[in-house]
Amino acid sequence: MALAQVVPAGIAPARGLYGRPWTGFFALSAFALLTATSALAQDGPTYSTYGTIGLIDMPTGEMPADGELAISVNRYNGVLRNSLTFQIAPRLSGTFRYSIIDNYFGPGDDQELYDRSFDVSYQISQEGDLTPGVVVGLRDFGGTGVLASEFVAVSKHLRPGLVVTGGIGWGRLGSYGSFDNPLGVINDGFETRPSGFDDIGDTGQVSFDTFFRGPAALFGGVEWRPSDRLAFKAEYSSDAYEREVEFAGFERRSPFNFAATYRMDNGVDLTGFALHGSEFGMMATLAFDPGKARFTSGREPAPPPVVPVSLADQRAAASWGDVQGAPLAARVGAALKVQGVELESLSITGSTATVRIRNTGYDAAPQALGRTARVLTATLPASVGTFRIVPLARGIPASAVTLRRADLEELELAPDGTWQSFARADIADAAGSRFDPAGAPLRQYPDFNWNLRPYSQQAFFDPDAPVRADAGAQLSFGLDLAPGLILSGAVRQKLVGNLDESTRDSNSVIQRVRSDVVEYDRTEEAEISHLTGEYFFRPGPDLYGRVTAGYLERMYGGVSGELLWKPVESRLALGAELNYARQREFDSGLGFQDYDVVTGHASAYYDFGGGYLGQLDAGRYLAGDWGATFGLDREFGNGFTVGAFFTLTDVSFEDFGEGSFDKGIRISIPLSWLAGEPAQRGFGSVIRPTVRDGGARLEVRNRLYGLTRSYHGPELQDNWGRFWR
Amino acid sequence: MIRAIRPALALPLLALLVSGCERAAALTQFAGSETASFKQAQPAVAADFDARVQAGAPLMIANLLERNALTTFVLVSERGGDRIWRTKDNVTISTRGGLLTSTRALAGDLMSADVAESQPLVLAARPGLAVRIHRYMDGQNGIEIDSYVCEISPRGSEDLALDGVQIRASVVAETCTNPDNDFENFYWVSGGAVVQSLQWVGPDVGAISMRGVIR
Repeated sequence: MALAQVVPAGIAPARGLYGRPWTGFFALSAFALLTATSALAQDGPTYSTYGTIGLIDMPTGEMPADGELAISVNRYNGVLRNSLTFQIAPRLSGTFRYSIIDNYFGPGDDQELYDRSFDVSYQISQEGDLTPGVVVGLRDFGGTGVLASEFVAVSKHLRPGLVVTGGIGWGRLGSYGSFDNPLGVINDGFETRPSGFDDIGDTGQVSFDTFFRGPAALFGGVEWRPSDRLAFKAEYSSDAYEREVEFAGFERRSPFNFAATYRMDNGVDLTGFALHGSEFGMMATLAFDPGKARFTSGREPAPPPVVPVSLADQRAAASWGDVQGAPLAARVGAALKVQGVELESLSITGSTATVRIRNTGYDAAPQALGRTARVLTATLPASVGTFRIVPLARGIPASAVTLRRADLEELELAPDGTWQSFARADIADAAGSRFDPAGAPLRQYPDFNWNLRPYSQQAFFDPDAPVRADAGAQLSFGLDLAPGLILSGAVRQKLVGNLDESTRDSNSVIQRVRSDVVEYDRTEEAEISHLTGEYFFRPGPDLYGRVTAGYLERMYGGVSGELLWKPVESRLALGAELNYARQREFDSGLGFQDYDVVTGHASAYYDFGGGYLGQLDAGRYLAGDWGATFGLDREFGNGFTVGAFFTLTDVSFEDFGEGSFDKGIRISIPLSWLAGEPAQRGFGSVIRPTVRDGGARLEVRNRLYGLTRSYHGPELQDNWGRFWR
Repeated sequence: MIRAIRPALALPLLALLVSGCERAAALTQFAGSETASFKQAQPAVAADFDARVQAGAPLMIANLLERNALTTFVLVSERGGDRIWRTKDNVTISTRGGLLTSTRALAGDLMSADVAESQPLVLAARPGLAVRIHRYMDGQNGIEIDSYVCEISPRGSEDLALDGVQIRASVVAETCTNPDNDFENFYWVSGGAVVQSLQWVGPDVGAISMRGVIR
């Protein structure tokens, strides 16, 4: 299951202990060592206690480099904040934050608030020679609202390394030294701010009716960065800390806050800060650029040189590896295999050779194409002048890339060989080229493979234990009966973990299609995570089809059919999926429960370019609710992806419960990004503030868009830099 | 069943970095059916290396200065003025008239270098200006283009003793700059060929020194 489950978690006072904050720092350091892609930039802005760019508690008019991803942890006097901030676009920043605030509801034990919040800020003016940087932001705009505030902050360098900031805040940022809202001149409605959240059911709604309302206050500060290692900050805060003073014994002796930051080589910033003359806190921030893989060109072995046609015949006749004298297809297959490519079939018609390949080694498809082409120059007779390479995705041809042998010879060492080879490659639809009777099929069916791997599954944000996880072993198998016809399954055995400890049973008032996931976590026996028969096919040009039947996912079984229209060179793709799903028994064994549903979606996918991918799915969800899911992801060229989504359905906010509607953020990190070697695997996680039953989708494996996209024009172009690698 | 220790800290955002999902297992695989592996390529390359050395193919000794890695390259391909050299553990470099034009498998590879303007000046040990264009991977599977203006200047001559053979070579320096970076290459040229050189590969790799083996 590709979702990190989240146990429904109240914001009510809860039992639970948490302690030593610096464990987090060590985890952060470990990750920093792994990545070592330091975002250390001279005169770069630093992060605030909110995990966003800013002073200490106050924001600034600065923004970090586009794409920067920052993870920060800080702690002071019973407040722990974890934040994830992403620079979505050069001027747009988004933050997800998880805070634990002691004594929020009063003094004593069990009065913590566990709070998830979102921020968004936009830079309306970038700093120029004369103009300042101006940022407008919303803090905690759709959570419980305990940090809710809006601001306009203006920053300007006085000289390199010295930045002054002034701003005006509303909400929490307008709670000290406040005055009547100047926006009152526009409309009297701005003068009063509706109170915050009333009960759990209201959380998660965007509180449009409070933005920029109520009293406002001014704040300001200065940041001095004497070197690229150090930053010192001082601010005048407009936050009165009303609730903390009232309940948590917080002493607010002065409006001034101070901080010092030390920037380490590995991209971690360590900050010590003093708040209001009474409190001291520490913070660690790791900021890095996901667009910069650790080893830019990878550590994998070099590709074999292109062999010129003049040598091809003598080379083709000579041995390759250990298969001397074997038929041509076997020799090509053996030579491809060591390059991480499996040969499905080879046929030669006239001067054109068509090879069907499975890319088993590379996350960037052009690298598989490039290595295949190099091997073909070394193995095919000189009479072959054109290579038609058809990469297969689950047995179906995803595209056909045609390369001229003469171009490969000419461009292998050409200074602009990358771009020229892309320009001269012909990328076309491969429908209809599924079977080629003339092509000697190399792969023998049925083809069986299996593996045994560790797995891990997490649940976040339960106040009793904000992080829970299981780990164990997963035995998977796949049996290819014919091209595109696959039987596969996976059995998991949990070895260690505490997901089962959750006592947060579902309180959902609608059909419990996801919120009772804890029941599944309580299984101690081996569980069948999936067991399906799949058939992938090409119904026609630009069309892809899939039928899946069996135990589709951990919680549901049934039948799923999908059709995708995706021209090879198109940025737009359209799909339709129809499923019949029945809920499985809590032990994830062979049995089913009574609940069944017909669910399905019409989907539109659009590649906006620049790495931005949009997706809209409209249809019927698992609980029988109708609605639509909106998703936007930013995919860096190396595959690192950060995205967000939300779903609105005809389940009312009230019936949905805490959070009001389904939403979340998703991150996936390719293994190659970390390890510096090509791999098709990666690490992925979907973080939902709450998992409820409205807007829940069936998790079917191998949806067609993800399977085919990387072999189509726009993606091939983005990754073509790896063709000659 | 072993019970996990209750997480001491709420740090879900970091936990996701070690999380796994369907397409995302873990770094290790306990066991499984045979799959293609890059490691399998190595024995064939090593055997090919030995065979070429036995057959008397040209050799080059090279040192990656920043990594202090000394290694031997054997010639595996020659087309026109382009030569491709490969080590026993499958690192390749290409040269054109002795000037480095690309590397592979150095994790920070020079994808290509346009040395068309530098090469004639260097080989003739003639002073002059040349534009040099380097291409690297940009970390996002795209190509980053860095161009340099280089000043080529003869620096007199030197007597070299290579493998017991005395060679008189002209020393040629190539000083390259652009607004962000600068580097310097040195070539020892004898009889219109580069017999020894120190050439800059790129920001992640540093410089490589190379000399032909006389045998």
